[in-house]
Amino acid sequence: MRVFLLIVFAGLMHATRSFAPQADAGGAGAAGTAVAFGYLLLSALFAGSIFKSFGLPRLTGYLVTGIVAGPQVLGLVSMPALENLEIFNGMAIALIALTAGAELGVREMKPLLRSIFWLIVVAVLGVMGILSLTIYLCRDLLPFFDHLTMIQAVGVAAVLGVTMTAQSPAVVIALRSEMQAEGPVSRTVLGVVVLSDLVVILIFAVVSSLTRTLFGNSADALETAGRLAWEILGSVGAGVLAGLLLGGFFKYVKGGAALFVLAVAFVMAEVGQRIAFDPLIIACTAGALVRNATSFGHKLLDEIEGSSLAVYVVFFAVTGATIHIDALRMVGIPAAIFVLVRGTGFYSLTWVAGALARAPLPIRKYAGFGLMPQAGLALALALLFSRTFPDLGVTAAALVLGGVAINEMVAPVLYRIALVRSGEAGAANADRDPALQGVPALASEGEG
Amino acid sequence: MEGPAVGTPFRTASEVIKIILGLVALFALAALGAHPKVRRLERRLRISGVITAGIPFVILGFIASLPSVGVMPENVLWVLRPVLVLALGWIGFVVGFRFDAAAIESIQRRVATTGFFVGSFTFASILIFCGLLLLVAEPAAGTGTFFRDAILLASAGSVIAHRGPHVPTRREGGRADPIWGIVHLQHLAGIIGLLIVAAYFRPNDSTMTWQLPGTAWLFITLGLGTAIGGIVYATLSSVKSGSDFTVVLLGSVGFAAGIAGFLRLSPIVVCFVAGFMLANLPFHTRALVRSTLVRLERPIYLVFLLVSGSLLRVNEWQGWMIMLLLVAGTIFGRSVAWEVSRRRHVYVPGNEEKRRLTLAPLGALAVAVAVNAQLLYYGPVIPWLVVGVIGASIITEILVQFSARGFLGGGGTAGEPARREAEGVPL
Repeated sequence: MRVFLLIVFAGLMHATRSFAPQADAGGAGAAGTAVAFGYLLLSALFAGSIFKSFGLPRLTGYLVTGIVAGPQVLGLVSMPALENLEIFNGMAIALIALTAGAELGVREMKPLLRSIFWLIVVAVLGVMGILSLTIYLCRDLLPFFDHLTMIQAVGVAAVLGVTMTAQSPAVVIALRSEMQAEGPVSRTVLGVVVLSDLVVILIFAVVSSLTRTLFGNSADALETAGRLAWEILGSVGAGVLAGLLLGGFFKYVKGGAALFVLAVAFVMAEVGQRIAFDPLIIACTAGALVRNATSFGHKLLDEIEGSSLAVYVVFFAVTGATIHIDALRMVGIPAAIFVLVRGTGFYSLTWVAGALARAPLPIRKYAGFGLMPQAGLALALALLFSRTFPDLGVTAAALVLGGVAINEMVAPVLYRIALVRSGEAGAANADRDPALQGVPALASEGEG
Repeated sequence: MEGPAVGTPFRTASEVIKIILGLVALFALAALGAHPKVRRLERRLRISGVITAGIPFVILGFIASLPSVGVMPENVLWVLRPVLVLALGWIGFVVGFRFDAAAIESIQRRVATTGFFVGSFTFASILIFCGLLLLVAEPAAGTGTFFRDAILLASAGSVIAHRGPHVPTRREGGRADPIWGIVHLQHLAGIIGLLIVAAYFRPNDSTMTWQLPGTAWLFITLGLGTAIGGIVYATLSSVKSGSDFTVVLLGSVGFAAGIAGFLRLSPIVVCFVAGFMLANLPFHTRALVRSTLVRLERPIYLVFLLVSGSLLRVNEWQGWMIMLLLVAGTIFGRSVAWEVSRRRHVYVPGNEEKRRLTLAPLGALAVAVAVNAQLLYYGPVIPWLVVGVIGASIITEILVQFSARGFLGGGGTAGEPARREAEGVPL
């Protein structure tokens, strides 16, 4: 039935687009966006449930729907419609970060801080180094290294290594929620991906500034430091403000907070990025403040759970539709090599970090898989890279995009398996208030 | 909204931030307006009718669109157009879902005849009143555009808000209350008018590849709505949880409204047919669908009114004249309908009810019809239509509140209507 419905949706979409194939702007522009929104929402939801019945993550179904329906495969959803729907991206990322922050309860995270610290130092920074070295060693496979001096090549390899290390809190949170996972593995992974996001942003800023100087561009250390301080401290400040606003709303207004949370997420995403703040840091700080300084942490999570499914489904479907399949054709082999190195690095170095932190066996065994998913941050850094180094940016960015494309498809499946094997999948639902059981988080268990 | 606004870049980050914060403040206000506590306060202040009808949100939307305020300039309105398409579809779907067979069958035959008279005479009187003005004022008078605009106005003016001081609770003793029946039948007049206009008065667009006669478009509209209704039915049958329901309903309405808009049909009509289909198919999760529709109805409606308010272009006298003629046409048409009903010995409401029904507000569906026209067609007359219909909605809303409080003669039972009207939005 679900497959039949998917075919019907696609057939209707195709028929509709045949009516006015050139009409992505003008009168049909709004309708084109509305129909793309409806189509992606319905198709992705059903594809997700089909994937789930095969033991795969629902969000992989959402991504695959986007890829198949997007301009690069069937072309059912046009590029202008996708650009209009990207308004959901910022909101989804802010909601995801808000969830991440609200999950970061200091009391619950305290016993895991040692593991988180060592995982960031050994696994995240270690993979950065390994990837940079591998890129440097494989530079003959990458045409944009051809005209670089050795020192320039080292710098570019380092920037790319940092970029490709970026992880995805979005995928980790989405899977954690979808699998109703609860336990040391999912908590540790959450802590690591959220904090290493900050680490990656910081290191990227420093390394890319240093590398720019190797290309004859002046890099003012003070200016870089000022920009970083503005981005990080400003984002934290804005996050505190947003957290107070949310806490105040929960305390004094009560009820009907879902729309307010969505509106706050929208502001954090859209205003944040326009004043060079990081929406992820703002939202994460706000969530953490609500969780740790008020008694409304669970309320915030429930509100997000109840109202965000549509946003998430569209976000992942749009992300899928904008994956650069053509980038894979250009740099497929080196991208596959780097993905393999990255994955192996995270897995093996997690064992080392786990041993150093004397972490429980499940963390050593499974946390590495949670560090593999990749999405938004890597894409943003790739974009930044191509802007910073315009002479070699396009091909180099294609390399990162190719890697992200592979990781987006493979890593969620691996992390899902890890959550199931660790025994944490479904544990959150068992711990919940009986009244809330059966109320789905990111995805329902209902339709099987 | 005119085409040239497409792609107009935002000038500075501060301009963008101002727009985003302004929009969010407006939407947050819409959310706050839907909050039970706020609604209780409105009732206590006895202003719930005006607030429930969303008049402040229309005004806020209008203020936001003023160049001196700059929260909703043309380029933002262009970005918000998909929201309008979705909202129109949602309104159509909700109205259609209300037309379940049991509700229609419970309307007595003589009440239905009265309803038919009310619809026909109101439609005819608006057609004549506003038609005369359009003949004088419309530059393209005498062409198909004149008939199109006159029918659109008559369709919008025929609608009566389904909630308010003029409507009692739905059933009394197992049968539909006669007034409730008459009011609901008027929605059909609006929907049928819009169906005909969208099918037979096709917009000129060189990007369209399907060139079909009007009757074919009529059947495509009905067929599309039926097909989408069937698909929503099949889709809803395969989901069980609450949040999946919301996603499916949002997706289905967006899909149906988007296809309708893409084909230059009316999203309201297509989604009405889909909602009607769904309401009349047997399925066990009807209550869940209804609760999801009710939960999202008011926020979507208020956001719709905000955006509708921003479409108002009030500097042309023709819009104001249409407003006055629309109000006069509805009052005259309804008054004639009561007289004909009396002579034909069919149902005639009591004096108090008759007075309130004569002054009854147009409601959200009427505004939706006008906004739909704005999405479908370009031309100098369409903005007059929007001003006329929204203005007439506001005036009739105020008139009925005055009537309920006895300011316009008659008893005035403000307490009771306030309770009724607060039950929901006047869709």
